[in-house]
Amino acid sequence: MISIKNLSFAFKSNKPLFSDLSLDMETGKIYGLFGLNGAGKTTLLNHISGMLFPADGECRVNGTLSRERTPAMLSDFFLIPEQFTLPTMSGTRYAEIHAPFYLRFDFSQFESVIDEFQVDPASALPELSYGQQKKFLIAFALATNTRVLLMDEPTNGLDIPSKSQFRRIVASLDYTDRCIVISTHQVRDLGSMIDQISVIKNGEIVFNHGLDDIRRMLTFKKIPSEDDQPYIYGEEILGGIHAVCKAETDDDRLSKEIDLELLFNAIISRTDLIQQEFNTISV
Amino acid sequence: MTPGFSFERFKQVSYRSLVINKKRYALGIGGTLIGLYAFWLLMGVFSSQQTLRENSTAILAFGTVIYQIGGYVLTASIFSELQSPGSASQFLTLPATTSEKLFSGWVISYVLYTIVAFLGLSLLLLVMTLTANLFFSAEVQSISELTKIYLNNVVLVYLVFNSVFLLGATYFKGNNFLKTAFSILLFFAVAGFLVIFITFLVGPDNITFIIRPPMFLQNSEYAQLLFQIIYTLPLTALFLVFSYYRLKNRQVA
Repeated sequence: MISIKNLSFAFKSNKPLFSDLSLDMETGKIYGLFGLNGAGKTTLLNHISGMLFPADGECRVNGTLSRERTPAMLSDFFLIPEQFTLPTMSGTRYAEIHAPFYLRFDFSQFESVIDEFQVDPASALPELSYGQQKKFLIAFALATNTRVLLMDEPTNGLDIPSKSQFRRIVASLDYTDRCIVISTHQVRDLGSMIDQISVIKNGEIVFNHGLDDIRRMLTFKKIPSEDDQPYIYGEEILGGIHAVCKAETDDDRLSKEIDLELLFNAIISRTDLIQQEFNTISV
Repeated sequence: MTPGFSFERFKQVSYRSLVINKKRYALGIGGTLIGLYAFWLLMGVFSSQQTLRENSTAILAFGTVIYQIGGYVLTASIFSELQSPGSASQFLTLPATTSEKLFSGWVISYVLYTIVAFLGLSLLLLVMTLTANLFFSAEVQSISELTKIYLNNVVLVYLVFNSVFLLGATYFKGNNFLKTAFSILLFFAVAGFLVIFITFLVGPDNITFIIRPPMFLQNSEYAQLLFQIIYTLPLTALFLVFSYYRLKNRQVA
């Protein structure tokens, strides 16, 4: 569905952002694309959407080179950028003039999501708050029913109830033939929705595994202060350490809870150790 | 999904562009026509019958100048969405081919704009005629004069420069009109210096830079028009091709 091979890229006069980056994303999954600020998440999404061209390597969406920006590729693809400017018109008008470009656009789905988000589609879009505009764009994007949907920091600007609504709406989607990529640095916001975690660090994908693999390999637990149990990564909390440990027993693996924020911090801080644990899966 | 040029998608892209910019276009064209009429009316109050007719000719001539300058401003901003990263993504990821997007920009900024401007100036002439007859008992410019002004010169000149401003719209990332206008001035300045330099080297009697139609064409008005078309069309096509490749390779950063 999305295939990135040996991607290299640098902004003018800067050091390379990506060097030989490769990543494959399949249908039927929601990917969480995580990384620190400035790691290159937005730049990677811009490459996938054909808005930036690689210096070397290639990026394909549904088999088409994304830099070609063909109508067939673009009509089956939607990007919700982090920063966007919507034209001066009502939401209803926006949907009317843009929907014909997307063959599977579903107006009833659009209205249903708009209702749930409590956005007034009759209002002029620039007059809505940033959060309302973002909810409008999310509703439109979901209604396009494109097979590839990229969202760059979708929960930025959303209030707490809207974040819950967003999670609920995305979780209710039938994505068996879709590939959804959610890029964020707010790991905690999206934990419940994601099937696969991809982490960018220093221009490389340093981690790309599904939740089942993570449950099989790691466990997340509180280790009391007096206990000297080994762990891969830990953060001090009251009375002990909140730790990412190697899953060694069936009891460990039965623990279904994945603390995404802790995992993300572990991947960023102990990249080698985490990769070492997962190497057996890759092999 | 049609991989090549689709007339249906072209219509959708054009409709989208017109809906997004309709207020700006209506204000620009309507404001200009009302301004021209108000100016003519103001002059009419202090004019004789003869100067009223001359004024109407001057107003229409001024209108054709504004038609061109306004058209260049419109053309330079026809892809204004590309100027901000926030809106560029919506334009670049719009499911249509580059040729559909470019052709839509050209049709709006040249064909449609010229028709609307011509109809607007005709309407202005009609209103001026009615006003002159009713309030000043005078006559004004005839519509055939207006048609002549347009077809013979202005529309063809606008055709070429429109394509240059279209290239500017795809090339620059802000202040497209000023930057393109400055580039054109720079080009003519450099060309002028070259002419002076070559003339200085070769001697003024040994060189001519003026392109004239062959002698047998010079007596026919239509033949001269044909000659103008022959050298403006390839130039326009060239700039449109440059614009196509520039738009096709446009990135957000």
